[in-house]
Amino acid sequence: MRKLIAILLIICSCSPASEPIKYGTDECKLCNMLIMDSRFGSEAVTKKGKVFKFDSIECLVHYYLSDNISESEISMLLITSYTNPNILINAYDGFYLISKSMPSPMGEFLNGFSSKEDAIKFQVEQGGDIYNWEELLNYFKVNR
Amino acid sequence: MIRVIVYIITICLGLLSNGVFATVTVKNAVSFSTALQNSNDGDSIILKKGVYQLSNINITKSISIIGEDGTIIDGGGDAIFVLSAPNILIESISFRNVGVSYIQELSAIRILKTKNCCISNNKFVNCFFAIYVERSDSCTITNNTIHGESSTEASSGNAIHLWYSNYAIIKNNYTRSHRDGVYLEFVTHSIIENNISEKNLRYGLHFMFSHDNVYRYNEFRNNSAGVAVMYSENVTMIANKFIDNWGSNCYGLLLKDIRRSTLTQNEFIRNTVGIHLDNALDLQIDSNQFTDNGWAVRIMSNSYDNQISYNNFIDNTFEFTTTGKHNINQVDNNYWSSYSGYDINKDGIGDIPHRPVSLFSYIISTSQASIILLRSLFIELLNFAERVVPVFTPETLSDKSPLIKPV
Repeated sequence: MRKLIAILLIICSCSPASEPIKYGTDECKLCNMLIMDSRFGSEAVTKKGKVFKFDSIECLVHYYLSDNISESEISMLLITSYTNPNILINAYDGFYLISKSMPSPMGEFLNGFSSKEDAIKFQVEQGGDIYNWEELLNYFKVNR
Repeated sequence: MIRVIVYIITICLGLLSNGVFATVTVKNAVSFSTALQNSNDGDSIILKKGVYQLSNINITKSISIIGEDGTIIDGGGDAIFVLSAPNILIESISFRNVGVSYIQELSAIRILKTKNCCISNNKFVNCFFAIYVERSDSCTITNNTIHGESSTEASSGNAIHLWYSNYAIIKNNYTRSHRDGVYLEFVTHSIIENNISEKNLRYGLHFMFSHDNVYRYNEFRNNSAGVAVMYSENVTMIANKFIDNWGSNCYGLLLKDIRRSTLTQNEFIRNTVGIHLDNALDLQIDSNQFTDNGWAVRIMSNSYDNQISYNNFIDNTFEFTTTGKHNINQVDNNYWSSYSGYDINKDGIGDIPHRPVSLFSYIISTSQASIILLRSLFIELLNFAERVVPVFTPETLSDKSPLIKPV
């Protein structure tokens, strides 16, 4: 019986999970602003299960690239697709459009998409450049 | 002499040409569209009393559109006007029903890539965004009443939203129940004066990357934060009132990454946090009134070279808190209602320094639940002991010349 409880405890405590963002209530970990725009909410989940919420993809990237958190601690990085608000998707699979005619909450003109087709659709209308996650990190490293 | 004659001729021509401008009065949406098509620069269109169903109207000529008493334009869930010519005037019209969109910022009036437009004496009810100014300089927004109906954050847009627009004047407006009352992003050299923002879901007034602006004589009530100034330089804040911005994560004034700015003659009354300073450098904070706040001033340890003097701190639960042990800010000549020193030489300045940071505020910042002990005798003793022999609170953070009477 004791073993069973121990096993249960281990199972319960060791699964880092994402949390839905409560728009209008949660604060951004980096910039302290209330997270309002459901097209941009982002999240980092650590292996210990801590959840950090952000109001924009650029805040997530800045936080990730600063010394606040190391890559080995991260369990999940999540973003929201511009065309599908309120739903968190994996940041590594996302495509990112930086276009001077598409504002984002923290002034980096950065919008995330779940598919490359969506990103291209907006690129045709608004201009700008498309990046994948790795390229996006490099872009921010260079432009800091 | 010749110059005078030229002036007179110019004025006469001006008067003459004035007669050339047409004024058309319209009664319904169809006649409005025709009048709009047939109009030339300088014409005026008067809208008779009534309800007009209009949406997605592009105004590409420099005209005036003026409503009579009781003129209502209903967007029916879509955007209404897009102004893309200079010198357009929109006056005395009630706009209503611009729908929520997650993809587009639908607005009652969008001023797009132009200049010198004027929006005055209008009413906006239930509009996602009311006035959206994009890449347009020198616009004037005055005497508008903007009343959102959003109760949820995602379905709310900003009442007045400026993006990449400089030299704006925003005056005498009333905004309520939007996301931000006034939102400025990449806006410089603008004046925000005499506005009232209340019950907005996020901020009454919000600066992002907006330098060299002035806001004065405004009142911010019951917002999540009265004003947020972020990533901005040289912002002048004079004689504003920050009242009843109360609740968790609520602030009177939220300062983040701001430098070289002045904050003077403002009143902070009944806010959870009066001013929150995060990475604020080189600010002049003087002659302000802090009354009945939870925290009057909360200053993060990454803020320095700020001068805080001649302020009145009256009946705040915590006068001053800071993180970290060091303090590189100047705090002097303030009035503190909790000051328990004396003034034997009667020069109006207390003889012993006042230490506004209480030990308990430290305990609270690490363990929030301990707030329950706030008024207990134990905490009083603890604070007193710390005041006599400071161990945890920054030695340097003290007002060496506290005033005996309020300024």
